[in-house]
Amino acid sequence: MINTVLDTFIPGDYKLGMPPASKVDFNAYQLEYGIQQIVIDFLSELTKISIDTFAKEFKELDEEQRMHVLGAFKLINIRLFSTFLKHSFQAYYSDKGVLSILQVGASPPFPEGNVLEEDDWNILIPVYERGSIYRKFDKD
Amino acid sequence: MTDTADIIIIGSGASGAAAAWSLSRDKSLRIICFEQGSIADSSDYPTKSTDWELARSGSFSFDPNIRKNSADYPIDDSKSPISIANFNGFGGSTILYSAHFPRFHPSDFRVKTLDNIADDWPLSYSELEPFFNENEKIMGVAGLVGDTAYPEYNSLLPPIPLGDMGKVMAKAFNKKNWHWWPSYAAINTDKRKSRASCINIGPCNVGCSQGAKGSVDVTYWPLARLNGVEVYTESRVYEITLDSKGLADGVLYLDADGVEHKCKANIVIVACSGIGTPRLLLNSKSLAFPDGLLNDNGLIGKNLMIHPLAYVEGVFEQDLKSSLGPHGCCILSQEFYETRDDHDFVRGYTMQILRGAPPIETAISGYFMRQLSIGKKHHEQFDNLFNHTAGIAIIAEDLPELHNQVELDYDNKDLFGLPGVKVHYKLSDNTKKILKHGIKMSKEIFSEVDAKVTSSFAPVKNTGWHLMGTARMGTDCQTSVVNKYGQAHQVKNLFIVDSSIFVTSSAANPVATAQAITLFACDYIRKNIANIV
Repeated sequence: MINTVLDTFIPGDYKLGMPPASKVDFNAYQLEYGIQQIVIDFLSELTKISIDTFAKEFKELDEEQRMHVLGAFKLINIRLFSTFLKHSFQAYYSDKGVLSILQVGASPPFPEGNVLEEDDWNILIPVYERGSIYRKFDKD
Repeated sequence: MTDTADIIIIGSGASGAAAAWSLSRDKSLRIICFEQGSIADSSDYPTKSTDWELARSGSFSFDPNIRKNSADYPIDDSKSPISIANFNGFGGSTILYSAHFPRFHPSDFRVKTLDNIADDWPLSYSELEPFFNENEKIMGVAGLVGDTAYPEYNSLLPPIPLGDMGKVMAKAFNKKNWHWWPSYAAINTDKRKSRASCINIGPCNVGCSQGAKGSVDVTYWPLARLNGVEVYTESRVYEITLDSKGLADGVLYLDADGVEHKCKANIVIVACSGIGTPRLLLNSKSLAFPDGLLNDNGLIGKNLMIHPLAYVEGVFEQDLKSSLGPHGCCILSQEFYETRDDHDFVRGYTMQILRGAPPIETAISGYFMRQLSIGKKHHEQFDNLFNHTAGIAIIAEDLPELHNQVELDYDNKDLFGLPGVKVHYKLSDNTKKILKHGIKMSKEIFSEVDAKVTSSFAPVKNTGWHLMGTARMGTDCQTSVVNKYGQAHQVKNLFIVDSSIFVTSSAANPVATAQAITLFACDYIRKNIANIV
């Protein structure tokens, strides 16, 4: 069910070339960051709300119903909802493949870095033209 | 075990490192620096992997209560709207700082004379000027000479590139006819000896694996160690001891295994930050100073200043690649730095333009700021945020107030049972007015370039980096702890050289001034050592 949840949060967007969240290795992420219990608690609560609301498991719901359940979850337990959502974002937006598609610039370990073009300091002419603005006083 | 040195320096951060280098030029001296943390290997910094953003909420967090490294001590800041940020390790907080490096202004040292508030400093900008210059050469400071908000600078490294976002923001300031200038940044923009130059990757504040950021482990320390300064890492000084004449005669410290040692010295120099320094002094109780060393006038830990921040974020329609470049350093404005008749507050603030957030921060803050949703529209909204944002941080000058203070916390202790600290801090009405004005002016700037303001708030919680005033300098031993050389009024061979001796806070980042003061103090020590010991 975890993949269904992740893809509800972050579905794929084929127009922008972005994969759904289930394509990143969330299992490896949860092991590395030791959040297995958070995931268990989240899925358990989600199942409960889903059944209470629609008498169905979350994965059996349509998209609109899933969003409704997530909205209800947020109201019932904002802390757990936010924690899990943060981990979902973290897993997704630290994935090398995702970062590459986003064109975030150089990816770690940053062999090349990012090139920013040289500046034309004529842009400072208005500041120069105003003259000195620092506070002067007689006795230093 | 008892060891003996000529000079002991406690703390290896910005000021401790500058002190070590300055004093080590006299190679006849045995100098030992004690650092309670360990030496970080830059190849272990999180920027080596794609999940570097996550380290900011873990082992490289600037919050010691989250980081919980073995060198950290608990800081209870529940009585403060601003959390304390620091790093305990070789190089101190410079390992995680953003490397902002503006100087204080001449007027900052004369606030009583000019604005009839707080106190004047017992030293002046012109006395410090040669030491500002010396420090900037060693730290490697990028910027541009000719800033109309300062007296003339001698020289600086080439400025950090503005990037597309910086140029747009610069134009906004030009439209308002307000001051702006490229940031002063201790970031190498030119190839210097063994240090690489900045490659504009952004995340300076999880440690610069490139080595371009001027943290003192790559600037002062290689020079000081070459001159023979010994560094005892994982060595936690918990007490400065006095001899029968009331002079400092050394320190007691715990090694990595918690074993007690004594090190004797002729001169003791404290450089543990505006929090760590009062913690050590308050913990150093004796018959002469039953309430803590140098605390006979009750000023140790008092007058904490912290530079409250406001933050305003704007979103642009166009992709400005705003996340590229050193995150904290782009441009600054000191248009509202000074007291003005048309303001309802005294003193003022600096505006710092910050680059856009990296991906994870964009997603998380975007969601909680209601700029980005989950579900079908997520990617489209992310695409409209990432690389489209700029931030303005408003750094307010807070004034010294006795009730803003640090005290020992015996309920929360470090790994070896030494007390942590409690911080009590309240925003003054003046500070609140400064922050409110800064937010209003920042919104005006964003409106000049049709950026949509998506968030604005003050104070920003996790920004307590600038820790000042808790062992202030002055000429009167009743109202200050040290003289202008950092020399304790009551113990002539004990010096404090970090920002805890600041009299007022200014509205500029404190590191450049703290290090200049350190060099000034150590110049005095070298020239007068025969009279001090």
